[in-house]
Amino acid sequence: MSMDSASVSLLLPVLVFGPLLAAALLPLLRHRTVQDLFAVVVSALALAGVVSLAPSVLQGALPVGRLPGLLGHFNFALDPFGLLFALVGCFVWFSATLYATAYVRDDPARVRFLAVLLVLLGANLGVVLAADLLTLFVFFELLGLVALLVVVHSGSDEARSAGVTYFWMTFAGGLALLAGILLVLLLSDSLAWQPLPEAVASGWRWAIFGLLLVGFGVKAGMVPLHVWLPAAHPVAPAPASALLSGVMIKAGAYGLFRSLNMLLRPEAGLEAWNEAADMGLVLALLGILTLVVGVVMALLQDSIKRMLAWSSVSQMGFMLTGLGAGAFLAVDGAMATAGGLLHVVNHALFKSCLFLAAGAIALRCGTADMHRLGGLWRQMPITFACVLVAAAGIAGLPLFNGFVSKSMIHHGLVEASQRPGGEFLVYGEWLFMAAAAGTVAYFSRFIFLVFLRRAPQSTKTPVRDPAPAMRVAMVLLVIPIVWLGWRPHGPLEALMAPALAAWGVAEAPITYYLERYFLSADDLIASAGILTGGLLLFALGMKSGLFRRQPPAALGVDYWYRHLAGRLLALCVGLAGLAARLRARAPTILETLYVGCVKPLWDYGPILRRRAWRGLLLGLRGVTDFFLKGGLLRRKVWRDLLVRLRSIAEFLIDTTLRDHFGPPPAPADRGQLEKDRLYAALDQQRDRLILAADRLARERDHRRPGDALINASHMLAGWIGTELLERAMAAGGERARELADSERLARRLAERAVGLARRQLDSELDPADLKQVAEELNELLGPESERPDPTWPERSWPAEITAIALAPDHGHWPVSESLEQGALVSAARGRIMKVARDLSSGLLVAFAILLLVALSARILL
Amino acid sequence: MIAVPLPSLLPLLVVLLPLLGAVLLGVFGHQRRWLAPLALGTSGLTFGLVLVLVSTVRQGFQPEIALMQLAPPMRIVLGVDALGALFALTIAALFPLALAYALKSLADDAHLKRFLALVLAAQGLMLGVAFADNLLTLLAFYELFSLISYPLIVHDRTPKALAAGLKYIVYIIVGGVFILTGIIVVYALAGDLAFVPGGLLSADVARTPALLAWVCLMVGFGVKAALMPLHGWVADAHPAAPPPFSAILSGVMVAAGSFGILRVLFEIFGAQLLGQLGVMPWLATIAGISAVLAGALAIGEDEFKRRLAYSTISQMAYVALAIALLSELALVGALVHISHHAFIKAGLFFCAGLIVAVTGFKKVSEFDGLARRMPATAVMLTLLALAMIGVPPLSGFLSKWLLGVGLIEAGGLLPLGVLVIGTLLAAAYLWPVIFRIWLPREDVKRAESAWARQPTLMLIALAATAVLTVVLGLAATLPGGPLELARLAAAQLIGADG
Repeated sequence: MSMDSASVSLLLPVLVFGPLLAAALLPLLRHRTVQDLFAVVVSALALAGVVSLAPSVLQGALPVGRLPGLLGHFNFALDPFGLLFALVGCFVWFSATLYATAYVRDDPARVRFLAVLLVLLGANLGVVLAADLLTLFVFFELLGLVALLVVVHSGSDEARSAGVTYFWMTFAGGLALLAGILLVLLLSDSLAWQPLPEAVASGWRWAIFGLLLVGFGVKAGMVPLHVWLPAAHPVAPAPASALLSGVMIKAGAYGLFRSLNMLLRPEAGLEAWNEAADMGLVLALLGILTLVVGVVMALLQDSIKRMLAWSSVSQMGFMLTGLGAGAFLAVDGAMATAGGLLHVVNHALFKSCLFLAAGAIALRCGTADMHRLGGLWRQMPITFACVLVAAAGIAGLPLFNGFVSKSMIHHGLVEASQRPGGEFLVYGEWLFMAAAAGTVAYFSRFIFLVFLRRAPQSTKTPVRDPAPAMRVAMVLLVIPIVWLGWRPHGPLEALMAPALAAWGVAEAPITYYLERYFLSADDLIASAGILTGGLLLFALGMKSGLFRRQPPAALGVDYWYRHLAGRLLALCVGLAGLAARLRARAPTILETLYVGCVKPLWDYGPILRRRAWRGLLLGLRGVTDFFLKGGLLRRKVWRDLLVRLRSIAEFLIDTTLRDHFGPPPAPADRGQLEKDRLYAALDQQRDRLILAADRLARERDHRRPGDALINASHMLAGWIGTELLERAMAAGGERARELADSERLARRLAERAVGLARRQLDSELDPADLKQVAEELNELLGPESERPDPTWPERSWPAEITAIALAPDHGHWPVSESLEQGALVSAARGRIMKVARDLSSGLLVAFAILLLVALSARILL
Repeated sequence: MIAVPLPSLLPLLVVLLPLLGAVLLGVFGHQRRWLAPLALGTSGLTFGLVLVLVSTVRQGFQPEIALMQLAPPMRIVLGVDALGALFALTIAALFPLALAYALKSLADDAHLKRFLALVLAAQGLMLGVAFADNLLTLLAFYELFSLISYPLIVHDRTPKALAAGLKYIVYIIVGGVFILTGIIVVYALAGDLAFVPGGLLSADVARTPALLAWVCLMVGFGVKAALMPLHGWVADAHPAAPPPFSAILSGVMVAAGSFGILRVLFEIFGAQLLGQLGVMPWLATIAGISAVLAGALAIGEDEFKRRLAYSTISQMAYVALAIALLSELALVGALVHISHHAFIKAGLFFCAGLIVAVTGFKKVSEFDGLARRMPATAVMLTLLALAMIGVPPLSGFLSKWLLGVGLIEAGGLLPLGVLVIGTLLAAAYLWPVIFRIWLPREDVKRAESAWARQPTLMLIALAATAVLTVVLGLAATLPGGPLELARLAAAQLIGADG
């Protein structure tokens, strides 16, 4: 924006922050009427403020305003395009607020709703008045996220689900936008709306375009980022839907328009629009895709609000097509761009009017399903008249506003298809015409089903037009629809043409359109063709029942988004589960690694140390021999001293070798501990055996007199248990640990013993057999010599630390109250004591090593 | 910009005052009516003194005081530069809130006096860390407050708390050994331990010992800073500690690790030497993986405090990532993020504590429809969670913006991608909480969703963090605010180098 004509205006920050402040004050007011009045007056004041600035802006002034905050200032400026969006936004807001005061009269959350509407008004003004990208982003996000409150207003499950979709799309779009803005900041070192420096490479430009396209495209409901729109708009209360569809999604179109024409275009005066033109082509293609998808889906809806939401998608496609074609035509694109912008204004008017009317119908009739309504033209004549005018506008009938903007976009598209590189836009033009016909078709269907046809039997209850405030609001919106259809010259000639010219875009096409094409015979014939085609499609669809088909879910992108999001979420949850499992397993894994790799080295430690001492001894001898026998020491005193010293050293080393590297003394306390533990385990095992024997005896009760057998089996079990215990005690060490630790062997032994007992009981109880059992048990337990190492396998302190660090919930903590008293507790205590001892000694060793390292570093360097 | 040294007793006073408060609590604390005035008084007074120090630092002075000399080059020195002032400001502002919260949340606890005294002592020691003017002083205060945190973590004496405490202490001791090693190597290399803006070690120092020192110090401070894979204690200690201390733990104690890393990297090694060593990309890689992985893990955690703990790991990883890029802008972002994150996360832990206190719910899956029972808490929780996600115009957004600017300027698209993915993950783990609270599914709306009375003092502490979050977002450029100090500090740390 050129700053030469800038004038500081305090009004701009007031316009943005005033409604926010008012929203905070609203709940403080007591009376319902006062609250309603306050909300309406605030939105009227906002409108008045924008209007008061309009004359100076149209004369070429650029009011700017700033307010300290954020990382410096909120910067605002009002250029003609900002003025256009602000004006139409405030106007629709005023009508919608007026409507809302009556619509939410009985809603328990009405104060919240009205306050949210005011916040959104401020945020929306902040977006269109923002003079730098940071300010824009802040208000854009505020607008997007606060609007969530109106989407989930009803709190129903449907609203909830729409809210989730809405939040994620908005949030992800916001992130893309943020990344794009950061890229702009990086490459141009400025956050202002100005062309990127020429040095910026093409790749970066495309990256920025891509990010901004996603960021603004989500808000604009551009296919394939539109999925939130048809979900969110129908569930919001009617005035909020009107604002969402009428004004708020335009923030996306606004951002794309500004990005293409202010950031990505070259400096003024340069002809080469290379990338910007190609980006325009991409946008135009996406726009055509959007309008086709929107029309097809709108034709298939039963609910009025849903149909209107899909219609919004489609109409956004018209706008994006116009803006894209305009950028593609570069300096000659004024007509398409102006058409796109004019369509923004037009759509704001008729779509909000239609949503308000739909809200009135739903409020009066209790349903928004077109197939359950009918004959309302007689009962709600004012609503009917408003809908008729708005539908005429949106369908592009001559003398209504949609006709002007659609034909401008159409002409722009035709012109673009004649340019090199844009030839295939001819097909786009066909689709464009078909979509326009489709628009006629679904609005014919709407008007026919809801108003004109005879009412179905089920809904014969008489209804009336809505409350006066709501009627006024709708009528207010209808007036400019007609006016702009007659006289589109104001916004086009006075506002857009000079402003586009300031950017180096020739204004001739706009004046040319107004003089040559506006209401010309060609356009009227084309319009008549579209109207006929639309009515034919309507008749055909109604006859064949085509409109009541539903496309398969897998065709919609939202199905795939949900699928993808679900998978990603599952991945994250799975990751958390994996981490938990790893945390639990880590000690085992580390121990395995340790036993496999580290422990062998550790085990060789004593041998190595012994060798080191031996080496020391030999070296000592060698060195002293060298001195003694080499005759270096002449005097006897020295030789004697040396010999004596050597013998002392030899004695010391010998003692060390003998004392420290002899067979390690068995740790007595741990042995005891181990026996306790073993005893407990075996005791349990014996109980189990007795129980088994009991059961066995009872099973065979019918065959033998009971008592004797039970006694015998008890004896057997006791005998086996004692035998087990004794053997285990005798075997001790490794085998015993295995028994107690895993209990697997013990269980196997018990099963074996019970099996043997079963055999015994089935045949005769014979001492010889018992002997055999003992032998088998012997065999099972194995000879003692098989495992000669009686020591408890040591875990070194690193292993213990990792075990502590990684397995907190693993139940081997010194928390005696949470454990059963007995062997386990004492075992755990022993383990903790060991950890503590190892830890301290380990730390000391670490310190010593580190000191040595540091010292050597100091000495060597 | 070079600060002018200014001999002053004030840093010592600031460190001693909370310790004195702890002693006084020990003496007079058996009378319950003395608890609140003593704890809040000393802590609030400390905050005032820190404000004075901050204003001194803003005028370009560096208040300092040499306390004692252990051995000729080894002295205990307290000095306040911009970095220290920023960290001290965060600490001094957060502790009174946590103390006020604790007064109510642990009101029925028999050991309230002990808890308050230990928290005060921890405050003094942490301020000592912030004001440490050489590596030795830093180590001394750092180890002391790490150890004093142990009884605070295991305060509840539940098996879970004891287990978490044991895990914490083992981690911290091992980390401490690494730090000590690093310091010894640094001393061997440079013959001094002072913090010198631009780097104590000369650029031609031998590579291998310098690397050794770097690794030791990174591992040592990385344990506290919750860098993966040294983060094991974080997710256990946070849920186990009492809520007011979880807030401190997440807000400033984890940040102390990042603070140590900052000091070591910029005032011991210096950007130039680090560039030569070529090790920072490794740190950046680890931090980037940390940020994303911790965020992903947070999504899978159902326990609210655990989820927040993982969020802390993720957020602190951004800080490490920004530090690792060695650029001034990124550093500003990192410093501001430390400070802003401290208040946001503390507030979120306050919320978690309040929810447990009023309803007993610990898991996010139980939060359905909570807003009806505790509307004020719900509003605050929403605000803070949105700030954590980085929604404008709250403080979390500003620090993310600054981080983003720094990351993209210094590292290009990859670090920015980490930030974006991390933010998406943040939304994924905090958004469901907000959504559940306000919009329960129709089939699970709780019957007993009547409004419940909430402890006022706890709410006030919570509201203070929420207000700070909004104020720091709307007016980040407050004189003496984190942003100004961060810019000053970054200019001192990196500007002195070039």
